[in-house]
Amino acid sequence: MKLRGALLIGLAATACNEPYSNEDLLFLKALPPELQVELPGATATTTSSIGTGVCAAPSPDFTPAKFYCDANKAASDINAVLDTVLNLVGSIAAYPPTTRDTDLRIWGPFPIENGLEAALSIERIRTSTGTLVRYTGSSEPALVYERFRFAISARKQGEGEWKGLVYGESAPTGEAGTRMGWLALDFDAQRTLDPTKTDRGAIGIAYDTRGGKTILNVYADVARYTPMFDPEAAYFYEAPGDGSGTFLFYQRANVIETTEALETMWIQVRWRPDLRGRADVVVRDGDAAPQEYWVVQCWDPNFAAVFQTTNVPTNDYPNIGQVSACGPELQ
Amino acid sequence: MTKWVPVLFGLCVATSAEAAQPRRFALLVGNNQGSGDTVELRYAESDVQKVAGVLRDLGGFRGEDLVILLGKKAPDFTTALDQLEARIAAEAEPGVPTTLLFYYSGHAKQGQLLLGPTRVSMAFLRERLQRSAADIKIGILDACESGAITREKGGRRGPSFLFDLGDQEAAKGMILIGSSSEDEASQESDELGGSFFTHYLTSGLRGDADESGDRRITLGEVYAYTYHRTVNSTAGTRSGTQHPTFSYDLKGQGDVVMTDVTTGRSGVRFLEPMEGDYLIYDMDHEQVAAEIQKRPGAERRVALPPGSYVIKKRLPEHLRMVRFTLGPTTNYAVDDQVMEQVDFEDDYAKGAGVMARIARERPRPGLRGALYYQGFFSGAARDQLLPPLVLFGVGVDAGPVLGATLGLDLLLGGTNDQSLRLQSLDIPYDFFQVQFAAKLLWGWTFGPVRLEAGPRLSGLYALRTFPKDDQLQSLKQDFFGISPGAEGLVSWFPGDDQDFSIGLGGRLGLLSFGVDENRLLFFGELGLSLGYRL
Repeated sequence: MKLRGALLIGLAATACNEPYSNEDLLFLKALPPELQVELPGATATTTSSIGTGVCAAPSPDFTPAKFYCDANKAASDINAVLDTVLNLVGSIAAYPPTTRDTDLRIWGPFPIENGLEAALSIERIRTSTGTLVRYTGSSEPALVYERFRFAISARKQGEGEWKGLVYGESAPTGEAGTRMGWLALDFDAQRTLDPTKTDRGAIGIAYDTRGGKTILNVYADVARYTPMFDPEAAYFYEAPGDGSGTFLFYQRANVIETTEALETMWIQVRWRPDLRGRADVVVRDGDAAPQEYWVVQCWDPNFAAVFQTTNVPTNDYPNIGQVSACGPELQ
Repeated sequence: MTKWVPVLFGLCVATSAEAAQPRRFALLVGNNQGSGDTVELRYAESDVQKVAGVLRDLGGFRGEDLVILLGKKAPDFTTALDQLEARIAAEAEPGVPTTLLFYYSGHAKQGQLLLGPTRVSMAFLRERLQRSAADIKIGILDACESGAITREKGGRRGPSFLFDLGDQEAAKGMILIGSSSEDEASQESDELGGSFFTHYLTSGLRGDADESGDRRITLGEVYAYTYHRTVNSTAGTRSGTQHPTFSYDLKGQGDVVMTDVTTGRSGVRFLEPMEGDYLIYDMDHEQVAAEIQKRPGAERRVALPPGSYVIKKRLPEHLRMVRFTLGPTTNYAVDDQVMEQVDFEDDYAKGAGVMARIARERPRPGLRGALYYQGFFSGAARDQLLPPLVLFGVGVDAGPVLGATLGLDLLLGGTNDQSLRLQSLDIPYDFFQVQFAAKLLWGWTFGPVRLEAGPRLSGLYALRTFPKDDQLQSLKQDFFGISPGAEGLVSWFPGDDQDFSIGLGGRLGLLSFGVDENRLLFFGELGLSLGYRL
């Protein structure tokens, strides 16, 4: 992301000698933490110790867990976005803030590329009565007495309205080492300031790491900015911490290419600590209507399909094994 | 008619000298070590050598009749005393008076001589001397509280003995002399290279106590001389004035000739008109050999063994000094005119102890390695700002500046895997500190120990990093502050050359910490250092 390089230069130029305080750290910890969608076996996407792998090519003796492979690729894409945000935050955090107030820290403004200037602000919102927050769809609501809102904003140098490029909110969880909050990357806002940009839409990310679990919701909408309500793509990741997990992703895309109509596809992947897993795929709308097509696939710890059944009228997904091969937790 | 008068020197000496040559035995005991809480003495054993030299040269003691015990314990002492007593009994001849002289230099406490970890009761010693077959028994103790040995026989502290001049019988009996009263300390002097008491005892025996001018020093003369000089010299010391004591139970002729200065073939002559206080320094043994208070009107001779000497005359503004060598028959005549003028600081005849002390006290360039533990007094400061830390460092001592040692320190320290708790956050961090300091330390020396204290100004740079925190791993939280403070250091110099030292130090500092809010933080440092002086 070019924005990061520009930020680094700008921050270095405007860095203040006032050292970091512990209060500054509290503000910085309100920025998004390191978040990763971790699917087991993700490091063995080409081959495993027995010659097969998550995304290994099919052979007469081996049918790969295709949908788990798809889930892994989706997770990699999400992780790339999260890494970008984290690197951006880390770059800013390397310099002390330029403005300090009791409930506000500001870095910048500092010039970036194409005649723009940018600033990071973190504001603390305190309420004596508390606020009930729930940042992910499956989080337990929490009563918090302070929240932090942050924004990386930009505008034409010295004029115009500040546009939020990356912004969000977080709240202390009361539980050491855990965070909860949300953030959004607004590519449309970036494009209004710099028409040369090609990215469109927005990505929204909500997270909650309380209780030893990691819950991560990602919403992407390229066509218009309503990511929470009607996204073009959404990802729901939940890892309770015992090695098992669920990764559900939703996408509106031209899956069935008979016409240009967009289908809606859901892929839910579940896995157990021993790497056995199951994928449930549903495609509807668009060229599928009025039908609803589905595929069920289970795999063993070597990511070899041990059960597969479908109502898709093609030979792409032949029936394999019995559903009992999925194991009792995944049948 | 019996008439008690203060000692009239010389009246009885001639009589005694004309009698048969007496046989003299001596047991000389010295021990620098005491027991338990006593401080090691520097000169007790060398004082024994000094006394032995005088007795051998001028006192008529044959070499084989001088028994010297240095650093021995109580059983050795008892054995030596038994053996000597047996010899006295066996070798005594009719008509030849015998003398037993016992001299002790060392620690004493509560009526006991401390011979290292062992003890000899003064009552036992007194009783053994009393029972000795010798005609005259002389006990001289140069030790703290040594007046205890004179107590039971009506001992008293005073400037001179009283003799019964009407008694013409041969002298028999016992005289006990203590260097101090039973509740006083006996003191050593680095300037003199020995104890005050023994220094004046030997100076007197070598001739300076010859009040009568007959060149024979009697016990009465040397006691009176030693008493006055010891009292005068210790009057200004920290330990207080030291008063020698005596116990006298002598019948017969009274006084006893201790030394005959005419028997020493080599020596120093102070001619008739000369006047002043002179100090004769023995360059071979690095100690004061004698001290002379010369008054005009009579020549004074001090008998000294052959060797290299320096005579010093102390004047208000400077010293006058002359170096000379005595051959076996040389009698060096002191002449003020040939003595060179020397500044006090250039005095080249000060004694090993003084030179060592000067070496200790003189600010010298040096290097130090140090290990200090640092802790801030405020719990909040320790938890959230500057954690307890071990600092390693090096230091350079320069100086003197304003009479003090100017020291520069560089200290480094770090600690990993600390935890910063802020509200519900628990942030792992690593910590590093570097400290640069300048200080001025004024010192006081007590034997091999030197105390130093003074102000210290340090620059303190602290750096906190968060390599294990995903959000803050690129952040460096640092702080620099100037910290005024003070330092105290106790150094022990174990060697004679005073080059190496082991130090125990403590520091107090004040740091103004102005991030978030202005706070004054006190901290302390305690540690060890190893020093080497160039």
